[in-house]
Amino acid sequence: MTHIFKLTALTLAVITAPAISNDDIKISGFGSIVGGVVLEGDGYWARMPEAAGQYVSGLELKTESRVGVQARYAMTEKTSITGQVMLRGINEFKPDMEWLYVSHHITPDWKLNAGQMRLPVYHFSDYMDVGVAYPWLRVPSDAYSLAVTNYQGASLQYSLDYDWGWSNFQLYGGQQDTNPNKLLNVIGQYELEQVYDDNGKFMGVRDIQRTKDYKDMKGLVIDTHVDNFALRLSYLHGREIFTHYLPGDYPESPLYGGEWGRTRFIDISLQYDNGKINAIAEWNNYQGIYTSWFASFVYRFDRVSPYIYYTTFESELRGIAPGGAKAGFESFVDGSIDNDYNTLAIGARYDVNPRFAVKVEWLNFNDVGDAAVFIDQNQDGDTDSQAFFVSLDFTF
Amino acid sequence: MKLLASIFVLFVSMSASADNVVVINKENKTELSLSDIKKIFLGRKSSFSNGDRIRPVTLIEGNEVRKVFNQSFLNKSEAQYTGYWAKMSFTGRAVPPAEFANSEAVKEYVSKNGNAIGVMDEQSVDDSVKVVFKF
Repeated sequence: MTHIFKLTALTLAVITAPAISNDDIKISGFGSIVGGVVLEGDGYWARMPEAAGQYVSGLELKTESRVGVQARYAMTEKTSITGQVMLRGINEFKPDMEWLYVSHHITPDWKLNAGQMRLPVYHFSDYMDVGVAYPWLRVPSDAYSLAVTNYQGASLQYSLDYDWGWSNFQLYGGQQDTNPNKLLNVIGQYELEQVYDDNGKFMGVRDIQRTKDYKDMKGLVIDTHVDNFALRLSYLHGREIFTHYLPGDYPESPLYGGEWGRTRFIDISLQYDNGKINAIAEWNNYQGIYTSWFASFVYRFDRVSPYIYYTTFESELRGIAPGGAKAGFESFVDGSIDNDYNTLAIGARYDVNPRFAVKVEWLNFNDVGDAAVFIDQNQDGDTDSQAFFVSLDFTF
Repeated sequence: MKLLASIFVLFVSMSASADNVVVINKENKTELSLSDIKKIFLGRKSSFSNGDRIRPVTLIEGNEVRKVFNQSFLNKSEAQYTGYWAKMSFTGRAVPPAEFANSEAVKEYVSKNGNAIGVMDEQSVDDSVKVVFKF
């Protein structure tokens, strides 16, 4: 409650005063207050970073709400330091240093960054927390499921400017440890560790621990804009180690995992935006783990922008039997798919003023796979749901 | 390039009756196409052809000249413009154009900074700056 009070005070203070700016230092920020209710089903979880997006009962206003404050200090004409602090409802609004990196313009077209930064795998990776920068209430989450969002390392960017458009090339490398990996923890808890009493009442989840470390990550992003079209290609490869511990076993006795393996992630997006119509499709593949994609159409009527999107996720994992974990396990080779689901969403954005936007969204989550994605009162692995959301996005 | 230059000259000529302009420092000899100007104000072009870093400036939110420039030239409403620069600045890609309260302040800044380019109304233009685009 104290954190909520502090957050409210901070938010009011910063949005009622202009952003601090002079030639060398600029402080600015953004935020979203997101509320949601479950209309049908046992609950809905948009599997966002930090395991945010969990909605069970009543009007939930905390899980996805967030505020970010960014400071940029220009040390010289060519060199600057950028830090971004995030306060997320899912983390009780405790401040976390999200990014901290130094940028150096080698030339106006070549830029070197080093520090902790956002892993630029998706089209909206860099600004998925900045609600005012995109039309939806949240980025279509079924297609944004990678369990690592930031990395420590360096990136080299080159901007190529030509008569009919521009391209940006980004080469990056680094590593990141996630212990615990909050997203994978919660996925595992609802897949495998739901607890019910003798009357079938949901009692919670067991406290497993999952970790995932990433090393030797090397990636390339090519982002090209020609007229109203944008094509973005992203490739990442490296090594990762995943470890799963049962309750009480951490850190001595992992149940499974603990071996380094090679990994590869590819993402492709194509966008058309003429100011009125915004259409985008994005597809990605995490080698040996899953494929996901989304397609969206937005039409802007002055201040109001209605939208629709469809997004789907299909894993390659086949360990859980049809009927969910209580039904047991099946062949990892020819069993049926554990995680296979899709979401259809309809919503609208209303620009109250250039710095404030109100959004509403209704969605239908359709769970096709064997594993439970969230609370599963019937214990049959089927966690379909419908939910309604409203958000206020702002920047200052 | 010749075709683009021709289109640029034609556009400027056709827009001779417009009330608003984009200006650069009078000593700046750089040639800019419409595409260049658009990229500069969207943070996609950061240097002139001679390699000098560009300093774009515009007017504050609510100013009618800025509104016309953003809507008719950049194809963005004020909300889209704000959202666009939130994306660019919070990802460290570029810093938005500095903002001034009125056209006189834009003119003064551009006249004193050799690498500046600014949006202002035509009535305030004098020989301390050079017009590169009318809208």
